[in-house]
Amino acid sequence: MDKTILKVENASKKFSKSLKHVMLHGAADITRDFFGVKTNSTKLRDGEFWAVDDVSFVLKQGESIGLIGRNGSGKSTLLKVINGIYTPDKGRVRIDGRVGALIEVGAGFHPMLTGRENIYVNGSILGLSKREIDQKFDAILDFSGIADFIDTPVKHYSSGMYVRLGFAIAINCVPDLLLIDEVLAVGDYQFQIKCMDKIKELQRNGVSIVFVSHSDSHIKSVCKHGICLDQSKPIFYGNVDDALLAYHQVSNAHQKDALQHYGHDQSHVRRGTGQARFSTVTVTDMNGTAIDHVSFGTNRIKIIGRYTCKEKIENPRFFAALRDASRSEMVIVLSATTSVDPISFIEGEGEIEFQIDVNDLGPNLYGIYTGITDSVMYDICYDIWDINGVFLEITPSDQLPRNELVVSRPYIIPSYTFKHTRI
Amino acid sequence: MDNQKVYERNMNLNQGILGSLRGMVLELRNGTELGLRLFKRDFSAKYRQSLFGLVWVVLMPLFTVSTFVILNASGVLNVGNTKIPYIVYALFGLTLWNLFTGLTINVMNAVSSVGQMVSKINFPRISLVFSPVIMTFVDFCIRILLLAVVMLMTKTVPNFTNIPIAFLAILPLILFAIGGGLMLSIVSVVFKDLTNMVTIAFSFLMFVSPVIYPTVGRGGILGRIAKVNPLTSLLDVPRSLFFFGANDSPANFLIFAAISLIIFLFGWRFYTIAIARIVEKI
Repeated sequence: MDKTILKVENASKKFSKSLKHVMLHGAADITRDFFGVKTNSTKLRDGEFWAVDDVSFVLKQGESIGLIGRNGSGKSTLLKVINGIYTPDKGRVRIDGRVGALIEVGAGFHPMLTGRENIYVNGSILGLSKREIDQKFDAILDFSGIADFIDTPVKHYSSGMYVRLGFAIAINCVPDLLLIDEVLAVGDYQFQIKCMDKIKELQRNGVSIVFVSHSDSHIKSVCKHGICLDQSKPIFYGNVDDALLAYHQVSNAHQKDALQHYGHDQSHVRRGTGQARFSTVTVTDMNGTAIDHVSFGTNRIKIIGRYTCKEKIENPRFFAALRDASRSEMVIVLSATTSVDPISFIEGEGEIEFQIDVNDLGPNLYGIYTGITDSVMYDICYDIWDINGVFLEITPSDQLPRNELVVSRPYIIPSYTFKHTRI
Repeated sequence: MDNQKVYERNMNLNQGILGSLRGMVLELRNGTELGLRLFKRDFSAKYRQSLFGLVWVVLMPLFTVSTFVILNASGVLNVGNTKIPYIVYALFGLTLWNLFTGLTINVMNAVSSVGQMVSKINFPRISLVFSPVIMTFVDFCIRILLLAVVMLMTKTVPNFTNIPIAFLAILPLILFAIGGGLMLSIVSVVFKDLTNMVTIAFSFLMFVSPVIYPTVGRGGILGRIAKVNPLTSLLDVPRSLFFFGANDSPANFLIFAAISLIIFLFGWRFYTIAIARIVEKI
């Protein structure tokens, strides 16, 4: 079982940034290749950049490795270099075995042809002979779960059926090395589970896998090793858990940049009438010590804000929110709800304190957003502040999320308490 | 099966001319099964939803030829002495011409029409060329049948002993078209307007080549173009072999046949080399 299936040695691939350079360098490369002049492609020319920069790893039979990284970090390019679609500009890829690639599902499907006919077309494209497809036909049909529609032209298929059929063909190719590029993101939950089971079965049969996915849980369940790529360079190679940790670190660092950049747009940062304004807002642990991160699974944090009023305001309402960079996950807490006694008035200076249960929030980087409004929220805004530079990072830990579904909700109202003191 | 592969830069440049030719033939062999499969796909898809199917293949040249027969008969067009019935002359020319343009244009679109497939999956790239070539030959065969019917109706007798040689004489035209198509197929991935340009070029070329009327021995610009146009002998020689068993200008023909072979090999190698680079740009 220790035969080396794949050896990637310093593999690098460069691309041109602009169309002009694509044309210029492309024409030069093709001409040189045509006349057999060897290219000295290890240096960057005008307008070029490394899309994959100096990646090395070894994969033995039955082993699996996860390629982890943010969008544009070079994962897919690397996968194409391994698959031989792109020729490396530096370094070398050695493969000993048959390669199967789940990069594009259903390639070459013709909409006018039936599912049956398309199995043969797609199978041939993936490198199977007619005899091999004949042998695997029943397994493919069974896995796809669309046997009833196999003689229907695929143009009448739903997108889900299309993907199922494409996936069923690809995964039944039984290669020695399987390259998977995020194709699992399509298809419904049930089918995803089925695919993951099939991938694990292949693994048990000695298939090596290079796996690209954004799902931590998929990567962890398939791979023992991981490579984290950032800006085309490998920044970590080793144990999959550490690779994921490295990924979350760079990912958060970049998100922090994004949040800060977003904050530079002053109109977004702060608005409101200014009759009352926050002077400071801090995030602290339960002891009141200022913090910028907690590990996932920590129960409660505090958001403490000091405010100043220019004049007396009746029935004010305070709120605080935690938002990630994509604005897709948001926690909001209010000072006046059925469970919190309303404040009758504020005057001069004061302090508010939200104690928030952050257990429902997944590992991510959150920006802080606070506000003072009237009791009918957003009717009059005294101060709405998207605070530049104050973050709370929830770092991954061994703790499992209590509830997987929370991330898909537009916002969460966690359990919290509110305290108000006049100074 | 040899499953060991190494990918590195300049990996195809160490073999010399014969080595790279062997590599090309090897790829052709590896890609044949997929190529035929893709042809089968395109063929069944094309004729599945078309009511008259292959009839269209016949109707198109028939209408074009009819137009010219009417023009000729009413004296608008002076085609000169064709020695065989004009309709047969024009239909033969048009059948060869459609083979030539069909091969060029269909091969030219081979890569750009499959879209993302080439940049996502590693398969023998030459497989993409099978379907357009065979599809064009299917059309050609049907049009030859049409020609045979028209010849029966007009009682035109070909030179039976020379028919095989006449078909062999079409080969340079075929090689020329495929070689050109292969080169254009790479360029058309980057320049989308190439299809329009080639279509325009062909409609011009048709009128300066001996397709629907003879061009050799004419005065003026047409006569001068006929002398340098490689298509003149590539079209005229098969026709005169087919009908008369004679060959007007063997020397010219052989030169252009050799050039066609070079264009074909050049195009093939260019396709093989350039497609690896061009997939990065799709």
